[in-house]
Amino acid sequence: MNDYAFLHQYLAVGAVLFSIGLVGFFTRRNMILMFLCTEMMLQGVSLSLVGWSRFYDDFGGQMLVIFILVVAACEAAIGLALIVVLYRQTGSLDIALWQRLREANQPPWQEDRPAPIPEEPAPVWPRLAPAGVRPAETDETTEFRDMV
Amino acid sequence: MHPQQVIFLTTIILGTTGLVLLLRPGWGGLRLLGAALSAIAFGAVLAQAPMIRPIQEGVVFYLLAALTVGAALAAVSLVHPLYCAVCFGLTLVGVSALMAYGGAQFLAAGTLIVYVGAILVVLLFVLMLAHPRGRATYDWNRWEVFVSAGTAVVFLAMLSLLITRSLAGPEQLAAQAEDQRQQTGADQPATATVPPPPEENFLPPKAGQGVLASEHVARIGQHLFGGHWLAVQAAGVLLLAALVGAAVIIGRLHGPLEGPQQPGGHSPAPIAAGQAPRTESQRNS
Repeated sequence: MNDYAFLHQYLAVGAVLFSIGLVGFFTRRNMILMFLCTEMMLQGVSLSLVGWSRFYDDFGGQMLVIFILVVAACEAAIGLALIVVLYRQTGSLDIALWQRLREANQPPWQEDRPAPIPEEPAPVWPRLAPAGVRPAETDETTEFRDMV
Repeated sequence: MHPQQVIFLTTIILGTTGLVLLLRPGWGGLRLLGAALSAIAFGAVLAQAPMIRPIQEGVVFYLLAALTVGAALAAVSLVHPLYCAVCFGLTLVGVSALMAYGGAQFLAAGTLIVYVGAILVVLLFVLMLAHPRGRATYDWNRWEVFVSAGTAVVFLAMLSLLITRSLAGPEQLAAQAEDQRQQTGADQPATATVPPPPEENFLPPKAGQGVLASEHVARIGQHLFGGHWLAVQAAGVLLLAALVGAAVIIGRLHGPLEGPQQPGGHSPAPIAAGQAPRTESQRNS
């Protein structure tokens, strides 16, 4: 009965990974992150296939996962090339800029409540001591001066 | 209502709430709470699988699963795209460890090499190329979070129902039959609810030295180049075609791809930034 436990665990983790990838694909607007979420869904499917392969003690599932790897590599090459081409046209990775690819006569999508962007703190640059003025000496510097 | 249904609905509501809290931009503590809620919901989904082992027996599995799911949640919900990619790498490490634990050592190595070594690096490269500042408006403001989270959680609940009900092992089937018999009353004839023997649903696990054999990689090679040689050739052709296609797509250095000429004689107009709902320049102005 340990085999059933193993199968159920792998199927459950695979389903969770697939769902997380799904919600990421639906919510994110960065094209590269959407692509990443599809890869996550593929990982979930691969994990459940490994579970099935272990359950039946058969190599068929693992063969399928190998070909999933191949197809994922091809998909990465083509998909990232397309993303770079799209980026050249709009100068942004936002998928919302491509709304005109939707079905015709749809109302334009608007954000209901755009979130405020947190302010970035100004960077703190190191400051050099002004030339010509002797920096103040601390006890540490005077104590260890002859040892340097 | 049956207590199982109550647990089920509670899990759905809890998971949706957690995901919405996690994905909405806002206060950091609220997002942490959302992460905790959704982790609890996913854990409840995991625990619903009937033949699940107690934690003491499968510590390694549960640790790896927690790593994988937690990193996946972080990869989906973090704002900064670079952090998302790094968390996705952590997810991949967890998945490959789970594969090795499940008797697929070759696939674990292959996943690490192909995904982390190639795909993730290319992804990070494109991200840095196209996204030099690392933070953009559209990483904060996302598509409809409520609908997406609800859809994903209901989908997950349906999958878990599928796992729970139709993939039940023989002991579980017997327990379900016992439950039904107790619910319908003892006077009912017991033969009406006898479950089918599990051999009719699934083949019993074969007692062989298949996946877990010591010469695992050699057997994978036998299968790959024995029974699946045609698919291997096709995969090679596919890889070559993808390489050439990516080079052709990306190789136009000047201007967009030329589509086929429209019947009207004009090419499709380039997208205007003004048509977008809210671009970055609009918000800044």
